[in-house]
Amino acid sequence: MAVAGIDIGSQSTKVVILEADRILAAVTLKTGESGESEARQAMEEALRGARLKLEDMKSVVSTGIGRMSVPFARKQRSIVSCLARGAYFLYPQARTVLDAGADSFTAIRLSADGTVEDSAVNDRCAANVGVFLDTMSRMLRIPLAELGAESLKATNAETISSTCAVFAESEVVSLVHRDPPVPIANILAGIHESMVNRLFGLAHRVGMQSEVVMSGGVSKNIGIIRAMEAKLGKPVLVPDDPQIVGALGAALFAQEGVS
Amino acid sequence: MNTPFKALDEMNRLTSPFPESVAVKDWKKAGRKVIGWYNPYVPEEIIHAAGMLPFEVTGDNEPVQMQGAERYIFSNSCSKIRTCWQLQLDGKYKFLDGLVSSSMCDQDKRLYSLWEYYNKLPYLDLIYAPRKRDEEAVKLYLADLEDFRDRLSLSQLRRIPDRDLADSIQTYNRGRELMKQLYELRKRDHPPVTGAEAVEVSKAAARLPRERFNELMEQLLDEIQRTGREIKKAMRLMIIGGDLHNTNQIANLETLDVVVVADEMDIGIRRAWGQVDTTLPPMEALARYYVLGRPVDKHNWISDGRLEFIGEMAEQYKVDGIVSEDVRFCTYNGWDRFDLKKQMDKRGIPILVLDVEYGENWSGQMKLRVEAFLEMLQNQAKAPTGKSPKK
Repeated sequence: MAVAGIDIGSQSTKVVILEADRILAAVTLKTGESGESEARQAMEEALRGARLKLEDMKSVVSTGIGRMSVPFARKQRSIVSCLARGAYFLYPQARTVLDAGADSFTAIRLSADGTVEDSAVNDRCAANVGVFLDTMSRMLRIPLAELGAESLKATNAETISSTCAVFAESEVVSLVHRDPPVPIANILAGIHESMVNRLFGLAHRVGMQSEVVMSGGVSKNIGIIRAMEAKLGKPVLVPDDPQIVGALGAALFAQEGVS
Repeated sequence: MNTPFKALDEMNRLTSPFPESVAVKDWKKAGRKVIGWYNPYVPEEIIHAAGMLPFEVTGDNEPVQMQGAERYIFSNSCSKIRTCWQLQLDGKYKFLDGLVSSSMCDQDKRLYSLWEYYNKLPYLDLIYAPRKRDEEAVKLYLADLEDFRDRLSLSQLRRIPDRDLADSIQTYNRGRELMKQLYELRKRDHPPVTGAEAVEVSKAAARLPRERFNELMEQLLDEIQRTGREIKKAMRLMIIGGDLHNTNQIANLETLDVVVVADEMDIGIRRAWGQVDTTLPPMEALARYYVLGRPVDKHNWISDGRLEFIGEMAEQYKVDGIVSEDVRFCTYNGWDRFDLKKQMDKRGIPILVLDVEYGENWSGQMKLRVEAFLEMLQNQAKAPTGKSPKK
């Protein structure tokens, strides 16, 4: 009895097909602004991976900002509930979930049984979301996937504004052009620290109880994870595929709906 | 589908279009004057006793685009006064013959200064608003109210007699009593009106000649009784925070399985609270009522009374959660946030804080947060089945 969860974010669409407690397929498609056709595309790719058809899905639950544009979804659930559910499934010891996505950052506190106790979302400001790193990647001409690893080569993190992404950009420009030049790794370390400082502030609104799980595309950045661990003073749990946590949670809700 | 109430439809008809409505046009056609106000420490009764229409200066159900207002106001001004000033620049408030505000809020004072400097109306006045709730505060406020009455009387070349003040107090008291009855009905398990409708009533109270408003309120209560209308939703919410005049926001919120049954805002329950004591001389009665007779507001020296009031109302109205709409740059709401959370945690009442701009429509992002909040409220009743991971 297979079910599916679909998470439509601002830059990517994620699908998880679940049967009992086995993930049959997990797909992340970079779709940009997503609507129904992108949802179908991601769903088809996931179905191909699981060697199943849409009719085999007993239930589909959608989540994320585009959750209303999935006509084949039986139900919609908020991304907060789905992130909590997915993270708790992967890590029953999780008590804090920090989801750092392309254009939003969500902090969730879980109780011991996995229910959401509190959550905070910050999506009004570009300073602590994925697009900030996109901008930095373009400015410094370093591929996004390498930003984190490069930042770990720093000898010393440059201090960069923690308040505003636009101010941070101009600070980076002046650092790059400084004489003598500042090592790019040090600038990158500063960028990562600056972002983590902002994430930390919001995360503390819900409390940072162990264990802390990070999800979302930004948590694929090893520099962010290390900076977060340094700030927390303890390890951060990151799933193998951190982007599918929301879709996994949606799939679990779909399963609950038919059991 | 909720059958609309005729009385509410009539209130909406008379108060449309915003702000120079049918009611305002009729009033002006009869050669009468309209005095704008926008602060809870401006006693409408005194303006009413002077034979003028007190009209609350606000935004409404459409977000107002800034097209020049920001030339006049610093960026740390709240969106409420920016909205009001833009409406003024757009000529929407050209029907006002005067404006009265108070010192309750610095943002309100800045708006007043703009009017004073750039759009000097025939009558402009600023009243002192006390920050404490004690006898000294009543004395100070009363002294200022007497001066206000003198100045308003002078502007009309007619002393506002005590007798007229007493009559106005009766009229406004009646409105408060009727609104209180409506609020009491919202305590029911299935309230007869939505939160959006209740705010529309509250807006109408400050935009219509009070006598007409009272008549329509009586009709509304009668219709409620006759129709036996019930709003059946799974969750009950309370809204607190800054002014909220965009009822589309609440209406959108109520498309979810939720009904707003209570509030703690300047608009809303404060208009339905208590009575001015008619056994006292009218001016003293007004001073006592406006300082001591209403729930503690967020501008008071100590917020404890306000937070307690919120907690008690939440319990009385059996709300499942509170949504706090904090207008950006409203420092008062921001300051209270920490203690509010602590106190509501003690009472076991979940609270969702939303950073909003005044007058904005219900964005997808806001809906996301509220949906998450509602799901959290529902999920707290049961636990998910966690299993060990396998891939």
